[in-house]
Amino acid sequence: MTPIDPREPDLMLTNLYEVPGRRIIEHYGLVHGGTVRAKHLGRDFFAGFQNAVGGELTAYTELMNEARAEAVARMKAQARELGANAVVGVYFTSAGVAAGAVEILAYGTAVRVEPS
Amino acid sequence: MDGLDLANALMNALPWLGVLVVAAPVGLGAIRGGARLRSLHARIRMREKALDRPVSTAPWIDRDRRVASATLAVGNVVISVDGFRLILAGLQRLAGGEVVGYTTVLDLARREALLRMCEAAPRADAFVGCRITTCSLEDAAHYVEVVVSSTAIQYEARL
Repeated sequence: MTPIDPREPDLMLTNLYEVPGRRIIEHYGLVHGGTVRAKHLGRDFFAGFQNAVGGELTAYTELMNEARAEAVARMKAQARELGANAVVGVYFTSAGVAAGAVEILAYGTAVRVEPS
Repeated sequence: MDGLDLANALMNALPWLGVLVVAAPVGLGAIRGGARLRSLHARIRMREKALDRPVSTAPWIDRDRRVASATLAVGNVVISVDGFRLILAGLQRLAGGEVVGYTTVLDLARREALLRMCEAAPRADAFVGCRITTCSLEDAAHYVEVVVSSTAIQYEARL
């Protein structure tokens, strides 16, 4: 949990259009971060077996998780550069862009907030 | 001579290998797929019972309480639809109507992703602005990812 603290060590992320318990004082506009990931050959091999049986593909769940974390990190870097201390309205999208590759995109609105 | 025998044996085995490649997913799906789904269903139901924190798609739940902290919480699952289900679904597509095999698999995936999101923020009091997205990662392989995201909030202690 990100503590609401005047020193603000980390950017706050929320998928709402406001930060609960805070007031938006400035908008910096859209920030986004994306990454295209290819499946690991070894992982893909075992996922092929799992695919036949059905159910969860743990290796891919993990891969998508890592990719999403990377996309968020890039979005945060962009927001920090603008001087924001929070990103509101954060959304994720992903799509297969080529055979065996997926793009994960995180986007939101960089803002500056202060305690209300 | 030995090498030639081996090559011959391989050539003879090839058609069977083809049969195996086609039949294995269907057979495995029919035999294991259903059992796996049932055990998954049981586990999900148990964890859902333990879940007592409110989840809402609205941006707030209790306006009278002051929020101490807010952070993004995400949960995801990548699932595949087994060979047996695919064939059943193919037949069902011809007939039209609901493709039950897909509905159940996606329903379980969504519930699992929601549980993971909640478990990702163990100290949160409530989850607001909850959103669910489903997307196909690769059309041919039938991999589907479900992502559930929300804002996990912690209230200030009541005086």
